[in-house]
Amino acid sequence: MLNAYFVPVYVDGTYLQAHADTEADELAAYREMFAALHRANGERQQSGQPQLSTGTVHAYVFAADGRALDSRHVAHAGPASVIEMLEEAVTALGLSTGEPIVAPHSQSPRPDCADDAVVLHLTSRYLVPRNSAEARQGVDGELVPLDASRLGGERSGQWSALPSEDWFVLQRDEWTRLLPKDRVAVGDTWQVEEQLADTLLTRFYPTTELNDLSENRLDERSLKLTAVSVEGDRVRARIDGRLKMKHAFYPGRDDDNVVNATIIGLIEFDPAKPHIDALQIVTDGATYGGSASRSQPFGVAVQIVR
Amino acid sequence: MGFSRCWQSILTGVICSVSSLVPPAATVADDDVAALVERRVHDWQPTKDERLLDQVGWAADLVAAQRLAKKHQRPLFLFTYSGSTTRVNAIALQRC
Repeated sequence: MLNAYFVPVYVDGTYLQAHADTEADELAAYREMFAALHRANGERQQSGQPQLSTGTVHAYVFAADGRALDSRHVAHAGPASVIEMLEEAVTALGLSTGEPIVAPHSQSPRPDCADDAVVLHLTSRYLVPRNSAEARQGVDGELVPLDASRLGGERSGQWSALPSEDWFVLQRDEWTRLLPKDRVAVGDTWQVEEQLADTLLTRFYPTTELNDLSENRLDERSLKLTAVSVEGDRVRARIDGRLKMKHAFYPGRDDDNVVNATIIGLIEFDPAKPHIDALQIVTDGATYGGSASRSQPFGVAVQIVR
Repeated sequence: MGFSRCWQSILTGVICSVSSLVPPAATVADDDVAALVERRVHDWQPTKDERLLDQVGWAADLVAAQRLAKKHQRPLFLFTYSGSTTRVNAIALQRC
C-alpha cells in the first residue's frame, strides 16, 4: 500500500538535531512538517474535530501540498491501525494505485570506503532455545534465531524481534595491525592490541535502546590469533577471544547489564602483500543482562563485505 | 519496551538446562572452526522477513519526499523516530 499510493519516508529527529549544520534543509523541512501539524490541529480545534497526535516517534500522512491529514503515536501504530490510517487517506483523496515512486532498495547498504580499507558487517541478534515455540526451524545449534515469519503481527513489537546490524570500516593502518609482525609457522600465536580489540568488540551487544558506543565500558577483552595453516603466502589463523562489557539498555539510565561472550573466528591473509582474504568472527555462548533483567542469550556475527 | 516477565522466566529456565550442551569455543578443534564460524555467520544473517523495510520504496530524505509528493501528486507517509546521533539510518540497522 505504501508503494502503490504514497511517497514513504522515514526521518530520525535525533540525527537531524545532532547534524543541524550539514542537514539544514532537511531539518527545516522536518520542522515545517510539525508546523503543518500545528496548523491542522488549530483548524481541528476550531471545527470541533479531535486533535492529531504529534510527537517525535509517530507515523504521519501529509497531502501532496503539505497539509497534515492524520497521525498515529507509535504506541498505537500496530499494523491494523496504520493500515486503517492509510486506507482512509486513499479513500479521502480518491487515489489510484500505481508503481512505487522510488524503487525499493536496501536500507542498509555497504558504506563507501577507501580502496585499501576493509568493510565489516556485523549482525547481532537475540537467540532462543531451538525447542522453543519462537525458534526458527532448520537451523543448527542449541540456541537459534527467532522465527521472523511472525513479524508484522500485532505482537511482534519487542526488542528480540529483529536483529541489529552495524557497518564499520577498518582503514589500512588498522586492519594491518591484525596481522603478525613477523613470518609465522603453524602454532604461532599473537595478540590483537587492546585498542584494536576494542574497536572490533565494542559493537558486540544485542538490540538495545542505547547505541552510543562511547557509553560502553569494556572490562575484559582479548583476541588471540593462532596460525592453523601456512601454505606459501597464505596463512589461516583461528581467533579466540573473550569479552566482558558493561552496556546499559537505555541511554541516560544506568544499570548493571553486562555482555559476556566468548569469541571465535577465522582469518585468512597474505602477510607479504599484505591482504586479508577472509575474516569471520562470531560469539559463542554470549549473554546480556544484569540483576534486574536475567541474562538473555544472543549472537554476533561479523564478516568482511567487499 | 522490554521483555515480558514471562519471556524472561522461560528463557532463564531453558538456558540453564541447555547451556551445558554447548561446547565452549576453546574446545573447538582447529579443523572445525571454519565450519562452525561459517555456519553461524550464515544462520545469523538478517533474513528477507527481517528486512521488510527494504521492500518499501523509501525516499532518500524528507526534502526529496516532499518534492516527489508534489511532482506525482501523492500523499506523503512519514515515520519519525528518535534514533542515533552517529548512525544516519539507525532504524534500518535496528541500532536506535
